[in-house]
Amino acid sequence: MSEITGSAALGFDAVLFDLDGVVTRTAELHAAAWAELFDDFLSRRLGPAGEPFRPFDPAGDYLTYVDGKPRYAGVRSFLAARGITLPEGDPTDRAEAETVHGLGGRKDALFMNRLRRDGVQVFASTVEVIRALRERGVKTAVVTSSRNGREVLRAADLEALFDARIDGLDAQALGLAGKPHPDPFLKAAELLDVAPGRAVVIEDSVSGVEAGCRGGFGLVVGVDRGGNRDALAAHGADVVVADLGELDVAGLDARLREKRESVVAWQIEQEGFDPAREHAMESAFTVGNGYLGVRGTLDTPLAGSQGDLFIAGVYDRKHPERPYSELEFLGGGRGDYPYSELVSAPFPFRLRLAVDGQPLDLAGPHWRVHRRVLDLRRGILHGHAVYETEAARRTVVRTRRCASLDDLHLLLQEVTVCLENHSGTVELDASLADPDLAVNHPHLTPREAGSADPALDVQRFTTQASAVEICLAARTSLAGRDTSAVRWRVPGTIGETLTFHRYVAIYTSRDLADPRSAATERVLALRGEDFDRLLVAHTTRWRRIWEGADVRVSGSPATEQALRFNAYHLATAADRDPRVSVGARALTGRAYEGHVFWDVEIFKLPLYLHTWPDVARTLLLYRHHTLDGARRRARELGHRGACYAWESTVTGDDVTPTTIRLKTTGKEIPIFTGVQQIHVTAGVAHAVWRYWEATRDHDFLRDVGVEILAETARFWASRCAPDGRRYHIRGVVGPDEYHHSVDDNAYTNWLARFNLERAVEAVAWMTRDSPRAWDALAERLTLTRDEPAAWAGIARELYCPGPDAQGVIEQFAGFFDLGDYPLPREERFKAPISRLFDWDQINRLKLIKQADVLMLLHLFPEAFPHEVVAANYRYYEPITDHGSSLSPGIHAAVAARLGLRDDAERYWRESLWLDLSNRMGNSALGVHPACMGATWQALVFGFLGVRFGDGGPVPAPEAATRLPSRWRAVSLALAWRGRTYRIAVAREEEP
Amino acid sequence: MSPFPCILVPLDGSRVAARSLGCATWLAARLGSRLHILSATPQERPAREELARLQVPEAHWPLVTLHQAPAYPEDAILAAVVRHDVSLVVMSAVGETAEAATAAAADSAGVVGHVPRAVLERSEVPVLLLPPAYRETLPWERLLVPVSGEPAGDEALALAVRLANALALEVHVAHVADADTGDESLAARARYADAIHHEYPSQLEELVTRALPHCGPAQTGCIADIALCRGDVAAELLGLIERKRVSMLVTGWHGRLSPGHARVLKRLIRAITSPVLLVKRPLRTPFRVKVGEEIER
Repeated sequence: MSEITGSAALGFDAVLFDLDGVVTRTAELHAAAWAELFDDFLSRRLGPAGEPFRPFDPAGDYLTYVDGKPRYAGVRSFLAARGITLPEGDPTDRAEAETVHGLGGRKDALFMNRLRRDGVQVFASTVEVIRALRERGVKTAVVTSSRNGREVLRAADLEALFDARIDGLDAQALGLAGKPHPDPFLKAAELLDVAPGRAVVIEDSVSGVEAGCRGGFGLVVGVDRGGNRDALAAHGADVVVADLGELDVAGLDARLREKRESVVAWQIEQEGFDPAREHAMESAFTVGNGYLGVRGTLDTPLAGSQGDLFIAGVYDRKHPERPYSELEFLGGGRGDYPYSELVSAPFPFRLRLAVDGQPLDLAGPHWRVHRRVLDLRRGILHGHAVYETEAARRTVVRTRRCASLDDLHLLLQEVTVCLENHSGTVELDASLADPDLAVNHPHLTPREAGSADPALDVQRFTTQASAVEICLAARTSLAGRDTSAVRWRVPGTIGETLTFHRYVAIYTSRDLADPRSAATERVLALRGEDFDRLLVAHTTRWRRIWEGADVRVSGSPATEQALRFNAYHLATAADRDPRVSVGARALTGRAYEGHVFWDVEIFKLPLYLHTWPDVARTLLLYRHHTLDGARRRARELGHRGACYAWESTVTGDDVTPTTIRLKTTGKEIPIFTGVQQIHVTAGVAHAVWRYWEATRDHDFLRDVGVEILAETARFWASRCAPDGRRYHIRGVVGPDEYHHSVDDNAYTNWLARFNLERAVEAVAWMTRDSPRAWDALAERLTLTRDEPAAWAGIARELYCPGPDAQGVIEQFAGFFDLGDYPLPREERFKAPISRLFDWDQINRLKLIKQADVLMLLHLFPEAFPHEVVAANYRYYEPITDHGSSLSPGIHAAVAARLGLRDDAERYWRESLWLDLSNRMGNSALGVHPACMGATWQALVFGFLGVRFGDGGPVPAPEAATRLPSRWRAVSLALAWRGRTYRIAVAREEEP
Repeated sequence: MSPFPCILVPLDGSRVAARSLGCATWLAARLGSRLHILSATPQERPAREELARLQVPEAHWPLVTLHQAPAYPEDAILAAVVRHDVSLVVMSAVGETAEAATAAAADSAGVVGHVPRAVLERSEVPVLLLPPAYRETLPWERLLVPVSGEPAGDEALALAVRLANALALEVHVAHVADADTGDESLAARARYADAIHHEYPSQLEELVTRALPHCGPAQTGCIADIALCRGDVAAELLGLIERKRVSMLVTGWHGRLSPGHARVLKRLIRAITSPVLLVKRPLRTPFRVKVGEEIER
């Protein structure tokens, strides 16, 4: 057996060292040279009316203003802190010149004099670490802002210890911005041919640490040579040591792995800013608690930001004048239904922030650093921005926000403003008013704006058709002050940090009769100092959520991170209110108008069921709450019982349009799903039964479940068409929406049969278990005694397509006879627009949008032998273009079951990173919770092959050989019948 | 703030190139822009005399800085762009050589001369190109902007909206799914269309809004409509230009006119009679999301 050596055994491939203060002891020389320069300069500037001489502090001033920065940046930074502005000059300036370059040149000369006089000392501990790293095959580089870097290295005889060197002269020649810009480190990593994530930065200066963070390096180590520990940590050092002797190679590796697993895998971090990606990031960074969701818009929004606040269950009539799409797409079929689309309310974290009248936002030219971090573990969104004006005045703004899980009506926001090197007046406008309310939030009629109480901001609206009253009340306070105000003007001194706390309470008339009183009383009861306590209560709730939800994937922090991101969004999507369910994009975006589809029960519910069963119960209560709407819909369609809406909102009435028309071409496109995609009804029944199986919640089955099962069975009994002895279901759309008006769709028929059979079973149970309750229900539903028997008969005779001689199940009657369609590779995962324009032509082709028969095989794993699953996968997978985000997860699940590891991993990755990957083409419109649910199912039911029995969940025996590459082990908790079981599978290679 | 505070018009002495002066002076006057004219002339004349010769209306002379030299090759034009902090170049697609009736002297597509091509490809600022079949129609009323979700197209739309607000114009936006190449997705990066009646309208809307992060309703009110078409991209755009009586096409492009590149653009330049404002993708601001490979490599 050979021992693993070299950097392959480590979590990093390179280490990049700062020079002064890390490798060499030149920091003292530099500090002394700066002090000599500035003391001379400041003393000569004294005039009769001048300020008293305040010398340069070789400790404090050195670390704060000049350490680690390029020479001229250091001059500017220190002078700005003393309120001095000098002409820039240029590098040809003589040392006597009173310019930035003149002073910089003079400092260089002073430093070189000291270097020649005193020589260079090195930190032996650092040199020892470097030698140990190189022995392990780790590449090393030195990255310094000093223009004398090479000379210092030569003087210390250290040149041979580094594979690459970037000093101030190199940076100038290469046009690299100096620290705190990450460019010098990134260039060094490039020279070493190492990805930043696989490299470690070791720095002693704040600006160098900041550069390492901004460069996305795997680990940033701060070396505190005295008095700088807090500043290094505050600027992003992952580890701060007093000397590198505290960290050997193994220690560095351990810290990096620990960071990846404990920090990076628990957060989503955005570094920098791309306006075109902003809407997608807003979706990803949504904070919510099920009652409401607030998109992750910047605290100081751009004019084009989509800072929506969504409140679950608040819908209104479809607004006819949405800005752009209505110009081309003319929807129809909604009529005056007052609950057609989810209402967007104004962004409740909106701020306007300025220092001395200079706005602090990303629309202007002064931002230098921007970072947002969504802390998944605690449900908090952090923001960090650094602004620097032309006069080198640096202001750091940090924000935190969350939607409290402890009080669903409360939002918390904290803003700290640090005037890093200057004094000025900080202006904060915390008004909730949206200046473009009429356009941005067209469903709302303003009722009240502002407040007589100067400490309070109240914005009250009513929705136009649904007449829901919404009230937002906010209070903002400044730490250390007793007062609250909406607008603040606060003088700040150099280095001072001002901390503002804002509470926003939100109530609607759906919650109680007087939302205004509730909202105002809530915020008036809070004081600024309550913030931390409220935050702790919030994070405590999150800790409980993760106890049931966290999936550990040893060996792949990126997978853990993505699974946590998904669980975060599914947790924040669901309320405990039985009047609401989870829309297609949850509360993260306007797309799909907040409509509730079949994916709740088929894609999302399994995760809820085995993670937070109470949420699954609530989602099924929503279906009970909307049962009357489903009954109306069945009647409208000419049938009995209850037929659930394809697109549902408040009442259960269907809100699917019947057509859309393109104005440019005049082309009218029919929408068949509303009338024909009736499998949603059986999907609800299926979920009811799965919930009952998983919880044995008798109360639910007796009080809610049986009624749903019976009414949906009634629907199928009237919808199934007799043909001789057999029954058929004609004129439907299955999960594959490219084909309409088809007969005997296998998925639909199998689920309908399941629905009928389980209804019979449930009625029998209730008759036996709760006869009085059954009698009352039967009377209320006017269910005759022979109806369940009729359902059983129909179920027996309902035609359910089975495998043919090759083992393939025909998707619907006549599918095998359709025209062939050679599916080009580029059309997979990227549905061309012809799917919209040529809908009728596609209806005649063997081209499918998403898992249909495979969906059936996924839902009923015990019903089909391996050979049949394999045959259907081989047949249908190549003709599926995955025009739906629901498709890859199910393909991953089926492929994993079949042991097709490459396919399974490919589809899994596609599904897992749908919203987080750079290819998230439509995540700007909201995240995809159903895809997240499918991803979870692919893991649990596909890769792990979990089956539930009386003893709880059990993974498939072959699960250990199915784990994706890189995974060493996976473990997660699954709820089953009142208990939580922990499943753990460690990787084994196939023999 | 004016989208084009400083405009440069290079003239090679030909009659066809001089056509760009009408459009450029009109634009400079409307926007209050500084107008630099590079006039290639064998013999330097007094400025007033040269401006009169070039038929620049006297009322506009205060806006103009005139430069004269025997010739202005591409390097000189591009240097002037930097030196004068120019924000827009206005020039004819063909110049002196074309006037001499030598289509062969133009590029392989026969639509852009040697110097304009070099300026187009190398200029970092937008170029307003007057096509060979240019017909001056002033004042402008409507702009057409094709978008696809590509950064250059986003930049073109953002610029068009700024220009439209400055000049009180209408902006018409179009997305044409290319039936020839098979690249028919609604947006460059869009991958899924779960429910088409939800997805396509929303994605079309996002195609516009993603390009205009700094614009609120007051600025975007100039957008009159969005067309969703499918087919031959150049033919569809030309059809829209005619039907909507478009004054100028504003389009993003990748900056290369060599054979095999800018196929649609070359067809448009050859056929169109209105000017084409060509916009390149902006410099990328640093941006990364630390997920996936980013944290695990």
